[in-house]
Amino acid sequence: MKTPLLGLVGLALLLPPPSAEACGSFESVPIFVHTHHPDRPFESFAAGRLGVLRETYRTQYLAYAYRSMMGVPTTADEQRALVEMWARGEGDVPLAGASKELQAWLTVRKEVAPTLPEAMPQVVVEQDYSQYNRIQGDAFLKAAETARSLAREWKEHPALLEEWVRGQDTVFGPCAILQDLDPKLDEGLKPRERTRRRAERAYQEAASRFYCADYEGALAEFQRIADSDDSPHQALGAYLVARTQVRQALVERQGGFLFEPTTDAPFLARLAEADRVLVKVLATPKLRQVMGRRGDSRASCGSACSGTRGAVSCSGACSSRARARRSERSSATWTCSQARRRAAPGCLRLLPSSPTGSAPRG
Amino acid sequence: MLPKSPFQREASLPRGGRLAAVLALLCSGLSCTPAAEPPRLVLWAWERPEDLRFLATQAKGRPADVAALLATLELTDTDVLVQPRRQPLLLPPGVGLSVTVRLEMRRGASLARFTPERLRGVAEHLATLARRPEATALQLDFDARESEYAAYVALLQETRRLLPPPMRLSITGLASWCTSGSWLERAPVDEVVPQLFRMGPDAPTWRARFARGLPPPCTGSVGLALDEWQAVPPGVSTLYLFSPRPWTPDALTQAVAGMKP
Repeated sequence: MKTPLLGLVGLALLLPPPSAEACGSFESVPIFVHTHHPDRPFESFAAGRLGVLRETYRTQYLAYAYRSMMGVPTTADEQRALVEMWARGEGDVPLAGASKELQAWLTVRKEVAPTLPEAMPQVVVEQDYSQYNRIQGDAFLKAAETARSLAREWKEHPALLEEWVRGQDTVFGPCAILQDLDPKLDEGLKPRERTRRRAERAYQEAASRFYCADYEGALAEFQRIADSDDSPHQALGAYLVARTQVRQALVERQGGFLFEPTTDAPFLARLAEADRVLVKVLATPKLRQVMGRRGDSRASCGSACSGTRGAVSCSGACSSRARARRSERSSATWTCSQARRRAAPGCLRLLPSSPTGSAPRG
Repeated sequence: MLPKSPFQREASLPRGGRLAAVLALLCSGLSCTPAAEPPRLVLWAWERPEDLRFLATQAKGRPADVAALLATLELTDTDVLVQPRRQPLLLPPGVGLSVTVRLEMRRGASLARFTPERLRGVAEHLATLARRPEATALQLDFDARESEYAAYVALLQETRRLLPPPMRLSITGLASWCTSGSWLERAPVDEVVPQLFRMGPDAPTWRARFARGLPPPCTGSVGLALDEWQAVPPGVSTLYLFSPRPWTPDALTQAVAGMKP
């Protein structure tokens, strides 16, 4: 009797211990009910099948539910945009990067200025250990588009084009002062070419200030562009006044993290001012064209107003506000690799948790 | 002249001293020795906004360091996608910082299929992420299948080679890795932090095992979660703490209070 017992004990000692699960991942408990967002697929929620709403949902879902229940319709396109945004926000799909757009800019840059040494833009910056896109993809596309346009217009003046590219390298690079325009290059230029040269420099100056957090300077420069009938960037300048307001509001906001509600007066005032500017842009026929650019149909009422705190009205200006906010959100920093690891969100979840890349185009 | 052996010294003790020595010996076996030095605390700052500036004032003789998740590397059979931290982390000046990086295999990828060149590429990413003047350690958090153990050893070797010498290399691990003959014995790391939480149905077994002391090859460090609290196992010199919610001074105070016997 004793021998089999000892044998069993010995065998038990030889057996490997059971393997422990999890640990590698910090949250491996099953989730039966989502507390901060509706069930997937989000298409159902976007289509108005709201399910059981919980007060703990992020504001963007509650606001959209409110709109739905008030009978405000959304188109299929708008629903698609919403679903994309929610999926990105919940970490189901990676955040949109700017690598393709960056590559497009670098390719065009090499085409138009093959002799200039390579210059890599500073796309990403870090603040409080959190990285965000300093420059958005649209900025690179706009720069590439402008470079091609100038290459045609200044075909006879390659030095002008190189000067512009060097300026653009400064805009996209680490913060530095733009070199003054070379007065000698004005010689022999037609008035139209001189005007374009200065307009392009003004835009670079404004963009550079924007990227380097000189918001007051950027506001003044963009406003000047918006007021200038000579600038090919007039409409964009008007729009970027609002974008600058939004970025300044986010960056200089006082009191806690961005996802926390705030009563910070300058913050709210800047957002209100941005809103006012965008309404004005939409109301001005020659400026309104800036809202009709690529992808704007996706930024219409549904995707924008659904999540904005205190600005849920769906007026004509909504799509413009959408555009500004969507741009801010496009590199929203509150997404982590897996939604389940995320901290409980606050009411202002729509806003990124660090200043994100509302970037001027080019 | 040879020094006296400990036994010789004991033999020369007076009767009362001899009794005390025997008691001390017994006590040491029964863990009734005076309270050991409390472990060094390291707070995990995971992917959520964290404001840990209170560590500067709330130390109460218990300074705490921070291990912050600063990036996740998503590895597929063809690519390495670096997902940087996107949540702000506020630290007081002077706090010790471990750069924690999570490795995730995506789309059915396996580290076992990585070529030496690809492993080197991953190690280069890791070394780059750790390159911060304030960082004292690189800590990797990953799930390793048995078939991947050899590849992880190779990855750790390569990472070790690329890190500057003073920087410590740490990994988190499963409790079940802390067994004799485990692959950890081949891992060229300075620290393994077995995480005694989220262990599933076998948690009681592992808790009981660790309650007797850290099973080799694990030594020194262990990770606990505030929402699955248990007594700190004996022999722990560095205690990592995970909070399922953003850290607050109160949460830390309660954790420290909970460490007392």
